[in-house]
Amino acid sequence: MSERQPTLTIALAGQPNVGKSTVFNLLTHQNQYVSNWPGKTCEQKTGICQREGICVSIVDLPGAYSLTANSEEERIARDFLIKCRPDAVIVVVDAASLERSLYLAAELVCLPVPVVVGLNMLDMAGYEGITIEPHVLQAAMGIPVVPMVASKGQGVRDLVAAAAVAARNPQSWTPNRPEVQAGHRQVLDAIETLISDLTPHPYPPDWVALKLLEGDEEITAMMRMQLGAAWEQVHAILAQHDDAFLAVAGGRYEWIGRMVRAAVVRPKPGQVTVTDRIDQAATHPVAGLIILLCALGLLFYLTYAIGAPVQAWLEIYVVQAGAEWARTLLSAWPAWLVGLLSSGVIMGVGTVLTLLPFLLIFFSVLGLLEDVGYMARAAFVMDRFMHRMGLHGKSFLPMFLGFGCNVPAMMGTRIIESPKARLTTILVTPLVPCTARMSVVAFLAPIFFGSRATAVTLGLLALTIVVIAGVGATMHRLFSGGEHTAFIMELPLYHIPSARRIAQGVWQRLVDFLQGAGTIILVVSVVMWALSTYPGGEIETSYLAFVGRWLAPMGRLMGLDWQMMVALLTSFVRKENTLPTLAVLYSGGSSGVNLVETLRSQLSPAAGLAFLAVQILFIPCVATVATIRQETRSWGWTAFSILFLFVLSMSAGIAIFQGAAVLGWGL
Amino acid sequence: MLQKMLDYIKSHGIASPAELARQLDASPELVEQMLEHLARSGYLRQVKACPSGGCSHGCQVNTGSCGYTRTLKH
Repeated sequence: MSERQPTLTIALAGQPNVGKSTVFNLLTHQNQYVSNWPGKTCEQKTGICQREGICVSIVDLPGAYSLTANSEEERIARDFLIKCRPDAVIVVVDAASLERSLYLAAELVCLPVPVVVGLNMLDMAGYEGITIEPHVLQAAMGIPVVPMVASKGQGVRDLVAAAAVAARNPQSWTPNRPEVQAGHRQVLDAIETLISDLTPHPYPPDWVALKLLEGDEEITAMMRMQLGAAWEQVHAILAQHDDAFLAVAGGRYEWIGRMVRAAVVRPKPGQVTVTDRIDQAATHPVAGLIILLCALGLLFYLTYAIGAPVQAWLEIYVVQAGAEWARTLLSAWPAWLVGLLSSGVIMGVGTVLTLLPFLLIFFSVLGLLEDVGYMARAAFVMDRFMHRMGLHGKSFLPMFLGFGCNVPAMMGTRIIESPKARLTTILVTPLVPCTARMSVVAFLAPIFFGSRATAVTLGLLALTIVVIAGVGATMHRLFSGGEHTAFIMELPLYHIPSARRIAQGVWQRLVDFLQGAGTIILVVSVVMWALSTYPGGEIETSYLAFVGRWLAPMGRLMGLDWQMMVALLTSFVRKENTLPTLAVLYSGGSSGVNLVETLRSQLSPAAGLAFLAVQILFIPCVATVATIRQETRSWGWTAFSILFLFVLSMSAGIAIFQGAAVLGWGL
Repeated sequence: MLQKMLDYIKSHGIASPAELARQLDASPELVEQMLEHLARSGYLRQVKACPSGGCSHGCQVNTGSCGYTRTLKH
């Protein structure tokens, strides 16, 4: 590919869930660079688009519903558009939800940057019985409108061409802009006159006047500082028209209404669309829950049915064979080095690698559910349960993310406005079993329970849900005086899944996992091998044995030996460490020991169940704990979380084993 | 348009999205958008929740089972 310098900069804007990322990937392919927005934690993606003689730089703006600074994403988007002044903006809109998508466009056309509309998801609109005439919409808006189906790569070439033309001919850009409703236009003019000479560069005075009228806090603060004594006059006008927000936003909705009336034909009222038909079941209070349980059941069934045999094959033919091969090939090397490689490196990292089949299936099914649009329904169905914990449906989304990894789940709690609800969510989220925990359970459950592994795993999941509900409700009672904020959730239309999109997501997650496994796990495996070998060369006299024996009395209450207690403790560094630790501990420094057989002979089913319960409720990994500190900004809450989860998990393990002893089961 | 919506709700106490769509001659989807915007801005309060507690695609608009009332703001 030729290395041309882009001559134009085009910003890519759009609300969340309109297919903006797909459009960005199609435009830039592999020419993408990821960094953070200056001074922000928000990710900035830029890329070069080279198509048919056009070479432009594309800046992917964060998803934003409007240009009012309600969130960091919206602030970043508008700051970039105003301060960096790209040559053009592409705004991606969802054809099947035009009323929602066009609000951002209504704000963008008021900026002095040419705008091109990417009318995406036309296929989805068609499935919903919605007919849109792009050329009519273009005429009504007065700006280029390019019909697209980004998931199939349709319309991208026209979009780039239209954006390049708009960027090169800004003088010919004459959009039909929304107007402030009558009664406030003179007010707007008066404010603009007062501020026009004092507005700081590069802010357009007409836009600033509009934002002042709308009551935008950031712009108001900026102009109060800028105007000094002259602010009093502006403030007096604004104080007389404190309902002007209605005239400004109302004008935008009238504009949207005109556009939609001109170009969109919707199904007749009462006509049931595909999405409506599916949602009648998927969002039903009872049927929706059954569907959610089925989806989760299918997810875990596939994980075991396909993943377990592949995992067993890898365990025998890759990990154990590799360790044996290393011992044979390196027999002339010093014993400590052979032990380090075969029992530390190969057994440790190899065991983690055998988790890949599980992860591949897990991420694929989750990706499919996400791509189809079902995930939002899952959140919707769970909303009423969230409310019982004093949380909102919004809490479900980050907590659901926790099934993948608790770290992004913690960071996802930033979407919750109420500080108390957010703190409760942060403290409850570590109880959501992440992929790593589930991988360990997926490995161990079949060892202890054979064909009943799926049922046991679902039972453990049910246990975590019960514990989450109980803990959440208790914390809500302790923290909250019944505070609630309005919850509004967008349910996207169902999509036909894209294999490419799902594959990209799975690949990225697997790479992330392997990168982590390749560093932390390797180090921990080697350290664990060293701790289990030194100082005397015998595991029974090792440092690790000392720690394990110290914990043995507590372990005995759960039917666990000291090796299992040590494995539990090492999971604090990373959850997957449980398995390499067990592999190393039960191998006793020598390779060729079958972990599966060893565990089966060492632990009774009751002890196995207690261990799995403790594992699934135990203190999260160190990365999650660090994120708790970061998000709560409190060492106190972080320490509380660790102590609470330790006590909770041990109590659960002891209760299960002692309960089994009383019932005479699985001993 | 937003002002008309608020005035209607003020005069009727509580109004459903479907009712408002008819009164304003606007699409239910647009009315839903405006209601959400006004609720976020503190002008309205949702007083009759959908069975599942949220305001979402199709739910209250088609069934009219949700209602909004005006708050004390303005």
